[in-house]
Amino acid sequence: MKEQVPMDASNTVVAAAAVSPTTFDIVFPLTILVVLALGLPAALFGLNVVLSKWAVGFNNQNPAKNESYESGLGARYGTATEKFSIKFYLVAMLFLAFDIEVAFLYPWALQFNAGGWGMVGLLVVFLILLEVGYLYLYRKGALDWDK
Amino acid sequence: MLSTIIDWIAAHPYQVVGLVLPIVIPLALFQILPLLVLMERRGAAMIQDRAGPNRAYIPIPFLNVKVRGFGMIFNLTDAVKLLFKEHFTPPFVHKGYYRIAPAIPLITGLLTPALIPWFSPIVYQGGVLSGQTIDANSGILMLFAMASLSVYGVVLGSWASNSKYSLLGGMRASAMMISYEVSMGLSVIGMLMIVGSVSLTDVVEWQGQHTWGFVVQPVGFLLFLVSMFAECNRNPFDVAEGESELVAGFHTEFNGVKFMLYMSAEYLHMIVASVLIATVYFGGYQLLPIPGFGPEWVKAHVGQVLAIGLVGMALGLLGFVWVIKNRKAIHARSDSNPQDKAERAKEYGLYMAVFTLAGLGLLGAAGASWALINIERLGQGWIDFITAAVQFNIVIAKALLFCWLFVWVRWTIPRFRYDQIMDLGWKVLLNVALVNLLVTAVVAKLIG
Amino acid sequence: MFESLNGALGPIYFWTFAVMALASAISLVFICRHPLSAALNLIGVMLSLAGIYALLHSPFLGVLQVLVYAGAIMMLVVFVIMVLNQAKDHQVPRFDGFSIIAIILPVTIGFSLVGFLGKQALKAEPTAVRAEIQPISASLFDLTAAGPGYYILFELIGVLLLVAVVAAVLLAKRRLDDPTPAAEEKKEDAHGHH
Repeated sequence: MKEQVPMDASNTVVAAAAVSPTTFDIVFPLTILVVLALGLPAALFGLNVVLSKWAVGFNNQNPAKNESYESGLGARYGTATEKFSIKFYLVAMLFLAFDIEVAFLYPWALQFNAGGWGMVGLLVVFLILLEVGYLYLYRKGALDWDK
Repeated sequence: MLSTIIDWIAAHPYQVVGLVLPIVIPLALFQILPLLVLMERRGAAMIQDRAGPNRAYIPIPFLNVKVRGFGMIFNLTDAVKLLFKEHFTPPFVHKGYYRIAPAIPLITGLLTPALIPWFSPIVYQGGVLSGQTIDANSGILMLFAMASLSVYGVVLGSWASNSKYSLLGGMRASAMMISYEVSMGLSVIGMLMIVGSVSLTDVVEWQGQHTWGFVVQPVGFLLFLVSMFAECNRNPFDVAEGESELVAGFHTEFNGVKFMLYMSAEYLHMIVASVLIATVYFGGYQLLPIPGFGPEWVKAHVGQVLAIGLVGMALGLLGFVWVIKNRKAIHARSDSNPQDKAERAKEYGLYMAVFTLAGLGLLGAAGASWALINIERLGQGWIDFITAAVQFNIVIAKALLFCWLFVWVRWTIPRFRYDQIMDLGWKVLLNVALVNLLVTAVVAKLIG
Repeated sequence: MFESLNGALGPIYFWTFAVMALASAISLVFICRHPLSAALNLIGVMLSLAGIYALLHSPFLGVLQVLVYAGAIMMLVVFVIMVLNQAKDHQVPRFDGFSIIAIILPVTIGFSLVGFLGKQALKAEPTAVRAEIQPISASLFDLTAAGPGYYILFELIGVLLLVAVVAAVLLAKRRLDDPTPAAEEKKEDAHGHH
């Protein structure tokens, strides 16, 4: 048994390096998956349409059913086209900025082991820049939701 | 023609499995959904100390027994109910998006499992069969990218409903989900930089050679766990639904199968999140958190590993028989009417018989696998596939533990207020994730 | 696996993605009346572009296209559409004065691109790996003295994003400090009803 283990391990590494996935290996499963992922909801939806027709058979209409679910006060207090707090917009903006920072940290993480302390220095400078922006947000109250 | 196809299949087993996997794995995960719903309902009943779902039953004609299946029959009734519901589109909605939106979270939920390494890569003559259905080098990034699209299901659904509660729930949910996406991305970087790769297979292989992720990244693990709870819209972060404030949040106006799509997507996301946590921080398909028991060891001892797993399952079933026996005794002493008592006694007797037989069968299977499954008897191909199946089940077993954590937390912790959620995300998790990153970098360089 | 199929698959998928991208783009410009449908079509364009990047052996670029553009930037656009006034949504005219610029500019850019690129034959090695994450990070974080020094860009991105964050707050802050327009409007509504 002892002899088998290292042999297998080295084989795995060598072969994995030699055979990289081809276009087919990536594209074919993705196609199948997309077809499945689109087909399953569509099939369930179609099943609902057919079965409900078969089981119910008629479309029962009444005024209350056609109102939105707002304890009957929907008509009185306007439609859903209301203005929202600017906070939502601000959150989306901040998310965009921080998401891009995170996206740039992934290549950094990949190269971390290869570089020396310089990589840590890069991170520190990057984080200080990030933190300056964050402190500005904090002081301005942009992160306080309940204010 | 047919014989050529059969010959080709027999000659190319690895390729055939590679072709079949993309459709098998999402459907296999879809089969766990009813189990999860059952787990949620029974778990809720257990935590709240009440009787769980126990009314729906199927009468068995000749034995004259009502099978309740511990509430499993409710899943069947749910599916039947939702599929037969009137296909009704309210007149005030935006019709196109109202029909498309519920499918979006389910689509992303079915696509993301393809990026999880379910078993160690199998090397065969002329190729590699990867455990990831889509073997991309930027694996976890692609997963995050696909998962980030599921927000549109909530946003579109809430907007298309054209109802105030829906829109409020949708806005809240989407703002929360994007807020926690940042800390989710940041918390996992600590693990990725130690491994030096963003491919999930590499992450799992590293954990096999060293130790599991939560040992080296405990803070990162907790951050990731909390972010995942928020990403799945689960309690304590379920402000999107918040039934005491918003009726049902973003899916207030959805009925029938559209509601079912949203619900199944929620549970599917829960499974995928659990699998991801298990993969990144709990060793994925690795058996033990100590080096030396990696995929090669499992492959060399697959019969024994399988046997131990089967024995564990058999002991679980036999323990369950003991639980049912106690339950039967309690029910016999209760003051319900004699007919009900007789019916229950019969039902419990049936379960005990079935589970005892199943447990004994599993013990037999364990013995058989210990004795029969070895490379001399079966050859390389079968050993490869059995190992892959065992590893798949290791991942699922770990993921089910985290699914139980999801259920446990849901029925234990009350819902947070919305401003508390945003504060937690932006003021606590983000900073802790950054500090964790810095500390990890310094410590990693100090250790070397 | 199935190496012989790769040659045939490339064009099929390229044309699928190209047709999807073009169809979404045309629908975005000419058919959609509602800004949100337009935004969704833009997401369609971006997803198809991500597919084309992946076909060009630049999967990392495709992933970032989905993660940042379709996931984050379009999220912002959708949010803005939902936060801003929805009542006027359906009265947006399909063509107005601004459309002239919106037509002239892309057409000019398109023609100049074709003119520039058409002068020399396009060469593309079909098997060369371009924007994959390992080569990108290796060149971006080459800290050796002889390296290209691209890591400065990493820090500059930090500065850029800092500026962006501050700008976002400044833009929104005016609305945050003032009594919100929504609140004012509600007051007016209340007066109107009485």
